[in-house]
Amino acid sequence: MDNLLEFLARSLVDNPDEVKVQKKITARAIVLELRVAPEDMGKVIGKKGRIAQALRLLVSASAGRTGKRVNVDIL
Amino acid sequence: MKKNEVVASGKTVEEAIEKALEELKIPREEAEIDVEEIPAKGILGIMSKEAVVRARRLFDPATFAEKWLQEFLDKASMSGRVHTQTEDGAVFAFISGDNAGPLIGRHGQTLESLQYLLTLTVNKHTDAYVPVVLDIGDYRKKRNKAVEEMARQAAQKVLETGQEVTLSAMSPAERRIVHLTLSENEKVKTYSIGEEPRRQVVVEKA
Repeated sequence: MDNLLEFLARSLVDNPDEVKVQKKITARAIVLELRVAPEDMGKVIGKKGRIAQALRLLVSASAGRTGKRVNVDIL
Repeated sequence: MKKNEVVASGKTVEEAIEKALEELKIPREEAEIDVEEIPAKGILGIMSKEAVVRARRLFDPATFAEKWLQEFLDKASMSGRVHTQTEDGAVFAFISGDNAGPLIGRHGQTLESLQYLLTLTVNKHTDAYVPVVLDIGDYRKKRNKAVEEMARQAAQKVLETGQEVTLSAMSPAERRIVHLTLSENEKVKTYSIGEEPRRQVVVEKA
């Protein structure tokens, strides 16, 4: 799912090489930390967070069977 | 951002084209090529000219959408077949397969998200806006039928009771179907209330 988030983020930004995703696993959840170039922040958040919301839904859908909840943090 | 156009030179036109395609990282059929200079031998190497060509990436939104969705499914570890077609300048993309459920999501939310990101990605590469419609396992097709049916039933109820009917929250595309379906019916009129994403259509007596 970190691969998926990276692929989606790279598709949206102007600086795909600066997209970094780090996966952190805690007892209850999997946290994916997404980092992009500062000027690309808007491209992964969107108006009223609409893009960020879409990213979260798609990542969660792909992780559906693992049982843990998945959080996407944009840093 | 990917380069869309390059100028390359070489001893022959063929060599220049090869260099240009290599730089764009695309096969010949995905490029449009203009020859700007034909090579000239000159005398003893003096006055000789190299061949110069300009190559442009031809962007086909449907092909791009198909590749992108296929890669999405791979990365999401989901199976499914992808098919795309272009109609009136819009791209229609379809995913079929047995495990479509999670990809559609509750009330089609996941489907809407995927369509939204696909639209953004496709239009990152185009000058003019290209609408993109995604359907997964005929969900949208069936849902549209259901929305039409709801609209007709609402109209009937309005005419029977004389009272207005407020339908449940719908996406802009679904509301459009309600308005269109009932535009043929002169006895009722429709309008929308509320804020996205919970906008609702109201049907009342005309």
